Amino acid sequence: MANHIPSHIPSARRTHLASSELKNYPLFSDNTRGSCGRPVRINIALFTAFAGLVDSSTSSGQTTIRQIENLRNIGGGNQGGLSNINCAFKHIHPVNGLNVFYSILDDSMLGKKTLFITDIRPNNGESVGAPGLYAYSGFSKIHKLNPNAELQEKTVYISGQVKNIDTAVEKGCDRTGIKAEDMAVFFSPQKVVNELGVWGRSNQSQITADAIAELSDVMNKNSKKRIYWVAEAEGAAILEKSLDGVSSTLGGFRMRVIDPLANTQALLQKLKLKAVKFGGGHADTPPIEYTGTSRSAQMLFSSNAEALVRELKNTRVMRDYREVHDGMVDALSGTANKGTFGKSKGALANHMPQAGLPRKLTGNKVAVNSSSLTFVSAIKRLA
Amino acid sequence: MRFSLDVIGPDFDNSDLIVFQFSGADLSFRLPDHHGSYNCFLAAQDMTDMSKVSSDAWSQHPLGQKDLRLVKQSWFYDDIESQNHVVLCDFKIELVELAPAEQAQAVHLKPADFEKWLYHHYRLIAVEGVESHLGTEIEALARKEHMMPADMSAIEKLDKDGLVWLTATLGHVSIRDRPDWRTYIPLNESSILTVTCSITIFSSDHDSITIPMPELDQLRKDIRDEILDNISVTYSSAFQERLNQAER
Repeated sequence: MANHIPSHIPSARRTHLASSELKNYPLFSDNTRGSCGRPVRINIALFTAFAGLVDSSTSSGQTTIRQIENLRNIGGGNQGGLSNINCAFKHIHPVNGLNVFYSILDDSMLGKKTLFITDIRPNNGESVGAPGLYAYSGFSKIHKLNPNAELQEKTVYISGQVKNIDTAVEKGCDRTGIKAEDMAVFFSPQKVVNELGVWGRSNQSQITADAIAELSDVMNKNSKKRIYWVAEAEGAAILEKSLDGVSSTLGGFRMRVIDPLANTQALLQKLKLKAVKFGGGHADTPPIEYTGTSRSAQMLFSSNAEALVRELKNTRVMRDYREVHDGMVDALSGTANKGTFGKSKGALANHMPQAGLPRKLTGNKVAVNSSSLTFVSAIKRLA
Repeated sequence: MRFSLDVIGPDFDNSDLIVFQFSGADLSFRLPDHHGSYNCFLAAQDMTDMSKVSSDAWSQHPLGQKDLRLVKQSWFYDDIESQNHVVLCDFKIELVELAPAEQAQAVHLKPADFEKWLYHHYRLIAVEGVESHLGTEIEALARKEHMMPADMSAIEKLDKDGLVWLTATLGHVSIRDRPDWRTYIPLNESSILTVTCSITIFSSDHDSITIPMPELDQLRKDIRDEILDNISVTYSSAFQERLNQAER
């Protein structure tokens, strides 16, 4: 028994970040280089999500950045304490609308215990309701879960992040211009939405897998019908994932996508393979629309702008929508050519030292890598 | 207003005053600012001549009534300490024109008749209009699923502006664990108003694990009562006379 070490106690090895990994963690900001408090680093893969969630040009965005910088003082949950220093468990720290996940590990480059931000998630509070297809009941005048997945309606709205089914219905009415009684809604609660979209990198829970399977089921059961689909924000991600579970072609489906928070390129390719038509709704609304009101969608687009513009140019939309589609693609390619996003993120990656080169370490003395571009400086270049 | 559990809501006293004018009655209430991800809705407020309202704006209820949306708006209630939104209220008022037979019987003008009508109306909603299902297991099950009043005595009665307002619960188990409240208010010869308060508590700081359900239910009820307190209907003297006759 004496040799038994509980599995939840991290080994010494796990308190140390492999130097090959370190190159993926730039310093968070100029204030977290380690000259005061613990250094704070952040995973470079979070660049797009962070840029979408935090607008550094607003006071709210700056508050978020300050609050994250303050992690240098409270790392591990103790104000300036050292008791947690060897703990490699992931901590969660809520700041202004975000949950920040971090671990404290040895930093071979700085020779210090450093706080590594491994993930960020939007923290918009909870939402209420089970994922699935909701259909209108004329008698009770409410949308309720329709477990048999057979569609009577000709319009389905796939919601992104909303508080409850009522909000999803109202938003769907705004987007489609169709009355609530003529529209079914595929609703996903916050938990599912958080695991998809731009944020979804970690393991999916059963509820998300079920939501995806259910949307596949709805599409399979109604594949012969003529239906107008509108997917918004994270709803596009659920759609993208659920298309993998659709066996037949969907020639009767017309599709509109608004501010997608998804792998849009993959989504468009999958829809094309299923022979889905792009269009529906008012002729002045592009089938794949960036409204300019969703910062997250805009940033996600910018992060992959050239490939997306190419994909959009290769997307044949229904005749009535060609003009408005071409106009939107032209406008988008104008912004893509500026390439600010790629340059910023690229500069950040290039500023990172190569793996296994903790050259600035001399003995125990820490040399602060003052020349390197920080995460926040790169984000500010976008503003 | 400050509620129990350190929850604070919008300032009704300083919110916009909305007045709808109908033939026979005026409806007035305070409307807090809209906070929500959908567009709020407020219908034109001069409705004394209903013939001017576009027929597209009405929706037909399968049981014969016609509904016209007047207001749809939502707002939050916050936890005082953390300032997090903890409660969402979706608020809706609709004008319901009764079916011709119901108008002829003036089902809404005498409180006892109104209550009977509402109870039967809910039973018909449960069986989706199939009268042969009334009194069967199908009705019992559907009423449970829709969280409807168990019997007539479960319909709340509120003496207000010289009339009785009736409030019944309606929801569905697949949507959330607590139903909406729909309050039915007699308006004039042909119509009634329905006020729907859908109050959702969604913060994990205020869930049933940390706070006992009865306290949360009381919070919901207090929030609803504040909303209803702030709504008032004034009747024209001619309609008031008609009501007095119905009473006799």
